[in-house]
Amino acid sequence: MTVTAEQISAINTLQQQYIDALDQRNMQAWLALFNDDGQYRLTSQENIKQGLPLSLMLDDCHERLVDRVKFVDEVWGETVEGYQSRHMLQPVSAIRTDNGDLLARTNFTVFYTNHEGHTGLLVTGQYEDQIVLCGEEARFRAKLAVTDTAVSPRYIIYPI
Amino acid sequence: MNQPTEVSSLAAWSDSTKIPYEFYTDPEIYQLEMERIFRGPFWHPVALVAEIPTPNDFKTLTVGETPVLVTHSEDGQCRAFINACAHRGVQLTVAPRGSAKRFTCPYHRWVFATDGSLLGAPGDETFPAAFCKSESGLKELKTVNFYGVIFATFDPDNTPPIEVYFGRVGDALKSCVGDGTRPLKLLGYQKVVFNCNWKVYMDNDGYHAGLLHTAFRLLNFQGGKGELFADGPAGNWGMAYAVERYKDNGFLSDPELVEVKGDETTAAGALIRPVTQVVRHFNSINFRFGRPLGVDKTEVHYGYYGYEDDSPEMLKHRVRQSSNLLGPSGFVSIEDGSVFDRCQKGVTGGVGTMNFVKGIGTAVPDRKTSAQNDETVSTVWWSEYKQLMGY
Repeated sequence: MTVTAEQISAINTLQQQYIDALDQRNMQAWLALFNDDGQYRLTSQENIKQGLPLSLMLDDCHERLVDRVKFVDEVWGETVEGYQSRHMLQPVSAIRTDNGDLLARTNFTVFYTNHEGHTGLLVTGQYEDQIVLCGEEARFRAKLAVTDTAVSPRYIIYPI
Repeated sequence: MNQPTEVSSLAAWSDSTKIPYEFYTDPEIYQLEMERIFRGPFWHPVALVAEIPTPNDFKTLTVGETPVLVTHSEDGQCRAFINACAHRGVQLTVAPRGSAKRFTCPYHRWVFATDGSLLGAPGDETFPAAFCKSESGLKELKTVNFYGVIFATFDPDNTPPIEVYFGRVGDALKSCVGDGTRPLKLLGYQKVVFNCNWKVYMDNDGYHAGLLHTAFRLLNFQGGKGELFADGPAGNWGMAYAVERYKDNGFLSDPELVEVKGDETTAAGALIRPVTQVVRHFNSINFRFGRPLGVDKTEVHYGYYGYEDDSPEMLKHRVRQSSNLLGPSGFVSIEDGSVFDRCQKGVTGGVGTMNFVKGIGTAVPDRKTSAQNDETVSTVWWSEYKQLMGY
């Protein structure tokens, strides 16, 4: 099925809200972009290519997303040195499935800047997103972030 | 060449509870470690059989700074080689894992079998008369399969038999990965670079767990009742403790993540020198292959495992738990990477010592056993280190 200009626009808005929530470290706003049955998964292309199910983050239900928000907001502040993330996105393709969901692929590159002001490349890769439309608004039913980067140059705290 | 002054500090130092900062920061000492330790009398884990379970499977890794190729031959044997063509030293394969009946060097098309033998080399009719094909195979490392883990050594003449080498720590390894008779199943990898010297990473102790890892407290984990034990000539140590089942205190929306399913009643860990850690906690089985990347970086490949005969529900549980709890981004363990980074920064450029104190005042004379939350057993390695470095 073809994807309309309005739908493309809804996807773009969703992706912009997503990276803005993360780069502003507004985890509640991040959570709000997932549908009630929404899932998030961050893994490497290396695992995917080898058919290995392990991930770096695997939130396969709403409760897991809620817990991830709680850890970032309430648990790690004192003991994990954070970093400023900066997401760069490039839409690649969008198609519509028979059930009406949209499947969108979007390239991402994420930089980090540490407390000393040093910046480096954290990961690069591609989102494979399943997006549900609720009226004019889009929400993630499943957000899969696949990193080309197999070995990240530091620990990843926040979702990509 | 003059003896570097830095290394003279190795000769002067003897207190295994006070480690001079320069041991974590000095490039000369690092180079000496590559020779005396990484190419010295150590058994390095290079693969679990579960990573290369069927004939023709292979994996690559770097041990110290040496590229290694591990193969599973059709005769059923797993072997380890230097991942370099016998001709001009070109890496034979760059894939982290794969399947291949033979390895062809791209440069001059020399072909090697999975047992390392040279099968053919174009133009060999013009090679010198002394060229011997049967002696021109890949350089093989001596290996042994210990509880389903393939260990390799660069110094077979001076590395003790594996049972002697591990002693009691072999029990901890077995407790983590099984005895090799129940096949493990590879679930996948998490890979990260920690910004610290490899020994900062390996000095990670029992003392910090309940203090640094906030989630330990919030989730009401705190063992501390287990035991740590060092054994063997390499200063390896193991850990064994009874698993505490999570009592839901309402902290997590999804408490199933930290459940211990099945009949698991224990947890275990093994710290394998120079740079490997193995952990079995909850239902997560985790083998962490380390690799120094210069004096101030350490790359760690976390491999996770279940069992081939796991039920689909157990497998799913292991994948969820392994993905989220104990890795470089794990709910329980993420603070480690941050502290390693700050530890390395703190000891760089200054003069001082890293100090081991917790448990030392009440330690048994050989310091080879301690309570779970002590730093005592780490000092056994540091006693061995001086000798291993040739001082």
